[in-house]
This record gives sequence, structure tokens and C-alpha cells, in this order.
Amino acid sequence: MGTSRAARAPATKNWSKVITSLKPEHRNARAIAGTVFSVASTALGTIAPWSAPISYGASEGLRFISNVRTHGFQSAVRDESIRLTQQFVVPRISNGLWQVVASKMGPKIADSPFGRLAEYAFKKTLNGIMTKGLDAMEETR
Amino acid sequence: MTVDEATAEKNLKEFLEKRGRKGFLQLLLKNYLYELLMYYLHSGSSKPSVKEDTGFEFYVDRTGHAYTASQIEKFKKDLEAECLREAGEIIGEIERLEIIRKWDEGLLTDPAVTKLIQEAFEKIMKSIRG
Repeated sequence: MGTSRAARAPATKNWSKVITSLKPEHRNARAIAGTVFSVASTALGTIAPWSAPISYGASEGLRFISNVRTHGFQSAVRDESIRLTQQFVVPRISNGLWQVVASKMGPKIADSPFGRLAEYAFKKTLNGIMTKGLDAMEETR
Repeated sequence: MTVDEATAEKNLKEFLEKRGRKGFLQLLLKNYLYELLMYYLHSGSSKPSVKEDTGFEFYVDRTGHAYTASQIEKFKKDLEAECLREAGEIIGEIERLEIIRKWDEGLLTDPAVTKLIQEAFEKIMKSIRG
């Protein structure tokens, strides 16, 4: 149910803590997030570069917005070799930037499950900022 | 929503003016943490150590009834807010390392920024969560 992109649970008995935390009597967002990150980071620490793809994304994103500040929006976009048309301006920019990120980290990380999650988060962030401005941040508060 | 180039530029500049790079990083990390969280909260069982799966528990209560759409939506919003808080902690570590300032002053190259952000991310996730 609702598991079309399902991960396998990390092979640790601690995962039962996550399942318990989802039961109605324990269903608290802070506790659940803490339990999931704790169990996942312990289980995955030496297995997968789960922090790598988002770090590449953060670095590239910072570089892009720095260029926007310094050289202006059009120049920053042009420097990334992104061709804009009348339509789909925002997704073209976020997609073009992710192509740069992916090329820097290489296909092994970019095509990993964490690479895909980072790609979604990266595009969602840039799309949100460029379409909603400040509301991109406010909507989760 | 269709946004033209001028509006995209205005929105981005407005965001940077008010929230700066720190705001960008916090939103990016929040979105990533939320994706990670949802990914694992939709995990299938990993036999033999785990008999149940989180994807089921996420949507169905102990009586076997599905939570209502509004209950699930509220739960997701709460999780998202929690990810924003967690992202704030990672940003605190990034600020402590003065990554953005050093980068502004040309003391760091892009790969160095990537490495430091990765270290900050892992340090926080291990020390606070571990």
C-alpha cells in the first residue's frame, strides 16, 4: 500500500522501533523523524553515500545563486548553458542545473536511490523558490 | 503554475534578499530530509528481522482502518515541519564551520564546499541522532 517507490527496510532489528513509532499511540512527528534518522544513519553510514548527492546539489545551488547575485539572473542562467524558451522556464533551469550537479558527482551517485531523492529535493527547492518566492519557505511553517 | 523569466528572476531575488544563502540551504536540506523520511516510511519488510512494513503502518491504524486523508495530510505536514527543524540544526553546523563566508571570500573551491557540507551533514546526523 503506497509503496510504489518502496525501499527495503535497513537490515537491522532496530527498524522495529520505527514501526512501533508509527503506531497510533506513539504517532508523533518529532519522535518518528528522530527514530528514522537515527536507525537509518546507523545502518547506512558505511554502506551508501547518502549525504553525497545533496552536498553536491547544495554546492552547485550556492554557486548558481551567487552568480545571480553577482552577475544577474540571465547571465547566471547563460553560464550554465541552459537555453530558455517562452514555456517551462522554471523547470528548464532546475533541470539544467541538476544536469551539472549529476555530471560532477558521476552516475554511480546520481543514479543511486539517494541521488534520485536529492534530484527531486533539488528541483522542488528551485522550482518552489522561482515560482513562489518567499512562500516557498513559509508554506511548511 | 506557469512562470515567465521575469517572474522567476523576481522571486529568486526576493528570496535571496530576505532569506539569503542560508535560507536556500535550509529549504534544500529540509526537502531532502523529507524525501529520505518518506522513502523509509514507505519501506517494505526486510525478512526475517522485520515482520511488518512501515508503508502499511503509515496509512492504516490498529483496527485495520485507513487514516483519513486529512489525518494523513496533517501527519505529513508535521513531518515536514520536523525536517525543517532538523535542517536548521545542520545549517547551524555549516555556519559554525563558516563555509559560506569562506566561500564568499574565495577561500574555498566548489569541491571543498561539497566536502564540508557533506561532513556537516554526516556529523549532525550521527552526533545528534546516533
